[in-house]
Amino acid sequence: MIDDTANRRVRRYREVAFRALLVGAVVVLGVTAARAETVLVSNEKGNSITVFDAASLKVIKTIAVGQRPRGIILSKDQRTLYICASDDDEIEQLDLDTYKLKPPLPSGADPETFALHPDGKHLYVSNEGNSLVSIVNIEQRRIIGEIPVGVEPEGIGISPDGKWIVNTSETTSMAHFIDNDTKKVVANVLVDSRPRHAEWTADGKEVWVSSEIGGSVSVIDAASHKITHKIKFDVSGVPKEAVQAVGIAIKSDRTLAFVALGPANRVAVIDTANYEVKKYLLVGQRVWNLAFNHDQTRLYTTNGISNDISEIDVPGLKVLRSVVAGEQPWGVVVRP
Amino acid sequence: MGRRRSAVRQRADRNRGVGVVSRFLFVVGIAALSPYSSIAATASDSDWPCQQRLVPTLSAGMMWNGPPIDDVGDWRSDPPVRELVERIVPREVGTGQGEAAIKAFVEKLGSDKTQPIGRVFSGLLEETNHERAEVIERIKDLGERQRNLAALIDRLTTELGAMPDAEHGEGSPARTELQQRLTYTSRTYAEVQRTMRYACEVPKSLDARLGAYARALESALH
Repeated sequence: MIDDTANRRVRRYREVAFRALLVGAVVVLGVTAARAETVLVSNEKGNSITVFDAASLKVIKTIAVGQRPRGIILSKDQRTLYICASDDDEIEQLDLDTYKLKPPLPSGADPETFALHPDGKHLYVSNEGNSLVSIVNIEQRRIIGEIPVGVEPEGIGISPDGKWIVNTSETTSMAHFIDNDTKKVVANVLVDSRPRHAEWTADGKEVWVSSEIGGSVSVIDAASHKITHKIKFDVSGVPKEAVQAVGIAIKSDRTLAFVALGPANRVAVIDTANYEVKKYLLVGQRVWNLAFNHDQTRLYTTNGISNDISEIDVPGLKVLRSVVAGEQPWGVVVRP
Repeated sequence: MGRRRSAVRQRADRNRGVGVVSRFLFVVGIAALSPYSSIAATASDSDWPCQQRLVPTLSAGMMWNGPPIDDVGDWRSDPPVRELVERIVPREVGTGQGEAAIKAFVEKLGSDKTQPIGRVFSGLLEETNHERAEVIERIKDLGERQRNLAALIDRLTTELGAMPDAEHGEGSPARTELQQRLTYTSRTYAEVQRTMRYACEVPKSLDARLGAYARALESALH
């Protein structure tokens, strides 16, 4: 009798535990299904954000936003998209669960692009018009600091440990290293003409800076602030002027890097072991920015003249397809 | 400009009436009446007033993913190809309209599509480059006129600032005239800025259309 009762209890516990597991699995699967990977693209001229389903690359939604949206970043919890609305002089916040705009953040004048500090609480904004980097406290929705930098600041990258900010200035052709504790520029590294983008390697040892007019990428050692490698691009059959290095994406395992080459309509694949170009991939026209998906098996490019995005198979190093976005696609991020 | 104008361009200009050339003459005309601008010259070409870096010539390698076009022969000597190129290359032809014409053209081709399709792209590339070159020259002219007008505004501002108040105070004819000139040139400057934004988009729109044509032709090869 006692044994039967004990057995019944055990069976009941098992049943309850199994049901709980089942419910848990359904919830997880349901959330995954509801939260399929999406590709988000800012359309500089279309004044909109296009949301693609990453698997099908079908447009899920197009959201009207402020004027001239360029740089876009996901919040740390990946539930909000921050958008540089350059001609509105503000940063918009798009709720990615409802696709509704929340109250905007201040940005300083003419925000072109920005970076999210690893603390998830602060944005560092390049103010192209007044040679400043503005620091925005997201929760308080206010600018808490301004750092004077070179003329026409452009690209901005923050080291993985959050200690160093690198900002590029278009006119002075420099990468400025800023100490995040003191908010002072501690080193200026001269790179090729019109630097556009600064990308840190995941280990924080290098910063890669692209130069649009120079058509090159400078690899800077983060500790010594010296250029250790200069990567040049020579695309067969393409005029030199058309080779304009812009967006950079570096795999977190540092095996490969990808560089968008603007009107050359190519993405260069770099072997990071020897800093040599391994391959050029033909994508849409005026390829500008790049973003990996969550496991870095896909890379997405924005193509500003052909008004589309291209999808690259990273292990196969092949362009899979291009699909139409809005007018003049500029920034791209992937929400897992 | 000293550049040899192609037969297609000459014919297209004749047919167009108010076309790209006349639009730019209008633009230049405005500039002749007007004043200063902030010139975004690049390091590579100081005469280039647009923000985007100047790419003087398009090449097949920039957008053509089909077989090489070096040995497809002269596109002008193939009448159907020539007719298609001349029909869809003028700037007034919309991308969709041109793509439809390409589709109709390739549907009539036999099994050997590669050569004629390569010839069409060769012709479109050549003619688009002619068109772009003319547009680029006119944008440069516009930029030069803006620089001159900018210098004029600087001079007028300096003269106004240097005018002694005692002899030429507020309301004096000399000061009023100078102020009017400055106001007029400043206003025109703002108009030219807007015009320049439009003008700088023209090469980009030609690039976009050629890219769309290239993709339409390539898809017919698969």
